[in-house]
Amino acid sequence: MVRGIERMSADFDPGSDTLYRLLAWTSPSYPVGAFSYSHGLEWAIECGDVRDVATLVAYIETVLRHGGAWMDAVLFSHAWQAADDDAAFDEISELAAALRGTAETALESRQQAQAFLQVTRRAWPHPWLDAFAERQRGRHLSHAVVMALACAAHGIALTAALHAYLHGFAANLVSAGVRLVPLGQTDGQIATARLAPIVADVARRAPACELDDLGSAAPMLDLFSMHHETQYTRLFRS
Amino acid sequence: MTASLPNLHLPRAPALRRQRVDGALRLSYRADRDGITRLADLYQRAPCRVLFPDVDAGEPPQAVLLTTSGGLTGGDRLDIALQVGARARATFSTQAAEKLYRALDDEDDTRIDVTLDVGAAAWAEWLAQETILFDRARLRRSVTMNLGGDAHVLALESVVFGRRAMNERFDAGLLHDVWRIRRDGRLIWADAQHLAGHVQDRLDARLGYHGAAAAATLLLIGPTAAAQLDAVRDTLSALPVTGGATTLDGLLIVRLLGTDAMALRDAAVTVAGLLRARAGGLPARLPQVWYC
Repeated sequence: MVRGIERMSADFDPGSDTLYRLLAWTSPSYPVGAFSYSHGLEWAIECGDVRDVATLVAYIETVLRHGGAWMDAVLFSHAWQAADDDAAFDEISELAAALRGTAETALESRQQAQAFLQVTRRAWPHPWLDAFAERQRGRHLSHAVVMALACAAHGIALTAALHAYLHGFAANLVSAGVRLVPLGQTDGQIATARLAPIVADVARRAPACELDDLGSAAPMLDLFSMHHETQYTRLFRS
Repeated sequence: MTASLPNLHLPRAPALRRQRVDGALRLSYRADRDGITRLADLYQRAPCRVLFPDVDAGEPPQAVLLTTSGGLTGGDRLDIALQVGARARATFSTQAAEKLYRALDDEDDTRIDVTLDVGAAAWAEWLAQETILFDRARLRRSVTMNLGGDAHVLALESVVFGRRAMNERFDAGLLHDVWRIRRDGRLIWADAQHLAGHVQDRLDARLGYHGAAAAATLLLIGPTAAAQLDAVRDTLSALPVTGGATTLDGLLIVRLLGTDAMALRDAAVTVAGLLRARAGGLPARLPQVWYC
């Protein structure tokens, strides 16, 4: 078995089936229920903090640079690098599942993790995924860490895997914004285009962040998520 | 006069070094056979000291921690280990706000590590007064709690980003602030805030700290934690701070941000008092040091 860690320096070949897998796993059609989570955005729109393309981009940039997506990017990197060491990997998995600021952001990550693991074990089986599922039975998981394991197991390089994960995270929030603000589909793509350099920057910096320096700096995002729990009319679960 | 001009060619005088602080405190309470909480172990190394004020009837024994050095700076560290045995009850507080002074570039970060081990069916409170960050302070702080079974813990920590009333601001530096909560050995909640470098942008940002001069985190951990959510939300809605509450995995988490450090302190005292009354069956009043 080729261990993921040994593929770290391998070039990412766009003609290979690794690209195909990565596109499948981060597609909005991958059945993890991503469409039902807004990561507090629904409340930010209710408050008027997000109301157009610029404010939507600002919200998602904060999530990526200082909030949950930054934390997940660092955890994704460390998990990918530890994928061939069960004890180290399980420790990161436990930490990642516990590093959730609110009930709804915990649900968002844990539920997508369970769905991702279940679907991926059937459609793209790998002994690492089965062994992990066996070890973690009944425990909380995090989406980023489970996807990092699948990527490492299937030989997808960290840089590409993390970039795709963050793109998926950002695109999902853009989609939520398009529905909630609401914005036109073209405005949504303008937002996605503006987020490209930010996603690339976070994907480049996160692997260099030690776990001792891992942290968020956006308590208002947690407060938005807390207030979303009591939002009167809502479409999203977070 | 030329004498008043600085001579830019002179080498900088070496900074005056005071001895680095390496304080430690170990403090342990246990319930005796009659269920009365007794002090079981105490070890203190300067500048850590502990006082045991008399408390009103019905209050748990109280330990008040203080740092005799009058503040901490680069390279200083405090290592605090507290234990509350099964069925025991204890309240820990701090004598005053902890001042974190500027750390020099070549100094290590200041470290404060607090661990609290709480046995089954015990009630423990960690009610620390504010940590005040002076400009260019660099603090790494961790609070680690290990709970047995159905133990309850009420915890409060807050940080002040410079004394605004004195025209001071925490413009640059480091705050790495970590919580780890384990129940029966399993990590149930972790939290990490990391403010580094030119932090003022993050503090001012609407989606960051929203202009906060101070921030507080309150936790209630234990079987009755989730049941307090509605009462806390009702209370928060009437307070002049930006706040929110949530529950997950047997934890109630309350976050407060305030543009005024005194208003934030008052809000934290109100919420902590509410929780100690509702979950601990104790007076809503915090330890006396909070009102001095």
